[in-house]
Amino acid sequence: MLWRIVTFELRYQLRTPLFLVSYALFFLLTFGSVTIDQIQIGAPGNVHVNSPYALLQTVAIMNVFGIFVLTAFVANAVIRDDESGFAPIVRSTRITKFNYLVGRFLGAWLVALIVMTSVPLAVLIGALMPWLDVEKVGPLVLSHYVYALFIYTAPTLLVAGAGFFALATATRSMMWTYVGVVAFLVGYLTAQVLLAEPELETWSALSDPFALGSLALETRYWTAAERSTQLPPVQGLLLYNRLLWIGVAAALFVLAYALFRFDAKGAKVRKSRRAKGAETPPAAPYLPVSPRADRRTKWRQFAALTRFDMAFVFKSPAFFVLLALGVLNTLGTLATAVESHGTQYFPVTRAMVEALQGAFTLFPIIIAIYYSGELVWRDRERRIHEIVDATAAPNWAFMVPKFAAIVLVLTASFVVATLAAIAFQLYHGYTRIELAAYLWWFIVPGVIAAVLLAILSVFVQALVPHKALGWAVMLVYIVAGVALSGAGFEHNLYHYGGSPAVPLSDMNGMGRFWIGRAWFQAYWLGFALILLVLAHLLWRRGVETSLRPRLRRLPARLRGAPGRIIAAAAVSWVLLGGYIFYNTNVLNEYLTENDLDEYAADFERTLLHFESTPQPRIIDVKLAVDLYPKQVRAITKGEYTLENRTGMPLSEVHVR
Amino acid sequence: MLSLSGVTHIYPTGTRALDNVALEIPKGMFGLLGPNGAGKSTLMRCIATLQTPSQGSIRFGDIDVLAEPERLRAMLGYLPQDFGVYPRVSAYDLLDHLAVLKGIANRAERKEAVETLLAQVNLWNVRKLPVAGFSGGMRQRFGIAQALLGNPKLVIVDEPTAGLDPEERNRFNNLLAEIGENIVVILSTHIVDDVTDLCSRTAIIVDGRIVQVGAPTELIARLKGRVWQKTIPKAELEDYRARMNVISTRLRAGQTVIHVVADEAPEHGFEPVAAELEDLYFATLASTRRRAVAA
Ligand SMILES: Nc1ncnc2c1ncn2[C@@H]1O[C@H](COP(=O)(O)OP(=O)(O)OP(=O)(O)O)[C@@H](O)[C@H]1O
Ligand SMILES: [Mg+2]
Repeated sequence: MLWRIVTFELRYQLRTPLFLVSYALFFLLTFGSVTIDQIQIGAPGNVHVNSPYALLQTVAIMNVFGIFVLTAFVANAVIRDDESGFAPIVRSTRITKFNYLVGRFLGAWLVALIVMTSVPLAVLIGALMPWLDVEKVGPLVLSHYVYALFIYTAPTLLVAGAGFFALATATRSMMWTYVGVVAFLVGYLTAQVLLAEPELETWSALSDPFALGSLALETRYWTAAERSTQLPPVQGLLLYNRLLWIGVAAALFVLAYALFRFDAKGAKVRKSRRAKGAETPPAAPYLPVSPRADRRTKWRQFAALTRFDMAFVFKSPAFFVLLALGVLNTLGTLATAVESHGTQYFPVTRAMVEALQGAFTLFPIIIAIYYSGELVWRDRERRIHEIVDATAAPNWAFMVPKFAAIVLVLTASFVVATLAAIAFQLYHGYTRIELAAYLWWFIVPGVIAAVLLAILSVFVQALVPHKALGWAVMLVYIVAGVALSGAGFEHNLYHYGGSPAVPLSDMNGMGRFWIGRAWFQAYWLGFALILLVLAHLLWRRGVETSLRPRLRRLPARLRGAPGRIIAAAAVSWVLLGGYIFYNTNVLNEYLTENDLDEYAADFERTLLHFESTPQPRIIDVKLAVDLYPKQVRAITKGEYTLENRTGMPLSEVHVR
Repeated sequence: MLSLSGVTHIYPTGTRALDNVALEIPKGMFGLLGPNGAGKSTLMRCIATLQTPSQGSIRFGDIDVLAEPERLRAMLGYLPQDFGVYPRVSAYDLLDHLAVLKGIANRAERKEAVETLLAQVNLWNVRKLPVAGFSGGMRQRFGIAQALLGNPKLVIVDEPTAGLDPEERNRFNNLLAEIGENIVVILSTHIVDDVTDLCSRTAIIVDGRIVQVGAPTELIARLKGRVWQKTIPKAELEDYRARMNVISTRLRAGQTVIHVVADEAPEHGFEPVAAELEDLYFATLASTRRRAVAA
């Protein structure tokens, strides 16, 4: 019986979208960190990307994030019967409280465990990717992955799962359970900071349910070679840590068991809504009101649909989970920005923004992909599409709000991340808050990228016959982008949304680099406008999934405003592209990463034999440099004093 | 006036749900009859611009429905056979939202329309409750209300009275009859009497083909004096079936009553009955099936 409940729970939760989405999320985050240098989880240092040390660190950090997903599963297992009104039926069967609770909990825990297997799996697969530098990859040792899963992930999920299972049982509310999760994580991070003294290291290692502290402690005197090949033995502090937390998990589960009341009394009865029928019904017979189709009406339709889509997004728990994840992710990265190899740095805005950009590489992509699928397919999944799609509202009134909702969600997450960064600066006593810098360096470029991404993902979802297919297409697009760059096809002219990086400087902000980026942004916005109009023209109405009838209607529908907009967008896109190409490939030399590597290798080959040629030493430098950052100009006057200290006459002086 | 010609629809699974349908539907109520899976819903979805048929053309007045679905939607009221709703949205709010989508942007007009409609379908007392929590019949009435919103010139209702109690069914039929005088109303149903009572014209659709079309009285007239009835023991049913054209059997007080179509009394004990639309429906089904078997 118990086993049947476990497998039922497992099957039930494996079919939820949360499972698929979180699996993809964790897989991609990890995969990205293994295969793309710009994405970092933790700071494993100079070890192989798939070394046991890097693996354990990645797994342990992802477990911290995994708490959010785990909580959704275990809380759902205990709350859903009350919410669906199914509780009295389930509980009047012959099922015992023990089987019910233990079965549900184990099922939910197993689902979370399956989600978290995506992390070691992504390390394993990521390390096989052909574009990785062979020197950064070690041999594949399966036992490392098993160790990570069973020594690290499984016990951690057990204790956190039991804790939040108990909290959900006590509060009967998803929201309060999540408040508990946030409180727990804040407490955890604070404790780790407070215990970061050498004399408290034992406590720090033991009190960490994620066993990150124990990992650091066990391996702190290890060489890079050891970290690349050895697992920390399961003994000493690590062993005590795991035993301690499994014990805590058991205690928490017993607590949940005691709190849970099997009779339905525990469930709150929903308060009846506002008084019914307080007003008298209108006695007049129904007189048809003629609808209109003027501009004002269309805007009202657009506004009404926007309100609906916004409410859908901003009231969904997923949004808060994502936001919380974003903040957590941000704080983690910010912490690494003010300290490096034992040196403390000021939390200047430039460093904060660079850290934020690092933390927000994959995050917006995942949000855009997830919400585009949810929003575009919502009416169909609710089975109200036949009603809504037969109304007179124009296609764009359906499509634009979905795109706008995604942009707003992303903007909200950028703003929240900025607030977190400012709070971080204040916490460090740094009071020079540069709001404008955050706006222009981080939020505005982020929102432009979000607009481009949202348009693409809504466009894709509007065409494909199934939500999951749309998600798959977007994943292929992302992986293909990474793979193409790896293969030497790097030009931003054919990477959708691509633009050159803008280096930031404490003195000079974005300098003039933003101008180049702006051209690319305009170029891609032009292309995105074409996609947007096409999404309007090809929007799916009704029960149709096939694209062919919509394509057949396309030429006729291009007449009028849509055609004019597409034509204008296409012309400006091509012109901008031509101008950019002229600048990047004609006025300047277009060099890929490979070309640069080759140049460096060539340089070394040609000039290496001069390395030991006797040369004079520079013994004194006097320079007067006038910087004109606005004009990208510097005037340098001064003198170098060279002295021959070799004791021999020199036949040549090399100037480079 | 709605006219369809050569409308054929083949689903990706290979099912030929509509086969060369040609229909002229004038103002007034038009009833669609047909067994389960005959293609009624498919036909109605095609007319309602929710599905593009594989072949054929559909015109409403001067609108080419397949080329310009937007124009038709502006004058369409549609009730699907089966639909869901957003969770946690009250009947009032949802109807209001749909009213905006249908083009009633003026707040005062909309309030008036939504409130009177809610009263008409007898949902006034529950207007502030979420539709997701409605009973099947209440939800169906909500669907009816939204189909009548605006001032539709074409109303398509797919099994509107399914799940309604007799009182509510009457109320709906009266409402529809009132509206259906000046516009085109297409209604599919399994209740043959409703078609007789309400519709000025009707069509019977079997396996995607229109096999009968005309005014109910006209169609019934074709069977005038040719329907015979007899009460028989159940055991003899197969024997009767083999010997004569039995179109329907039904139980009445535990006895089997058969209806037979024939030019004169088939044998002793048959008495003539006044033909009803139901007899025509069954006779049509029976002859279509016989032809299918013969083919
Ligand atoms: N989405 C679909 N995909 C494939 N086949 C379909 C689809 N929808 C309907 N069909 C098939 O088309 C035929 C006609 O279906 P339709 O729903 O139009 O019948 P109906 O006359 O409305 O039946 P009912 O009285 O049961 O509502 C059936 O054979 C059905 O199986
Ligand atoms: Mg049907």
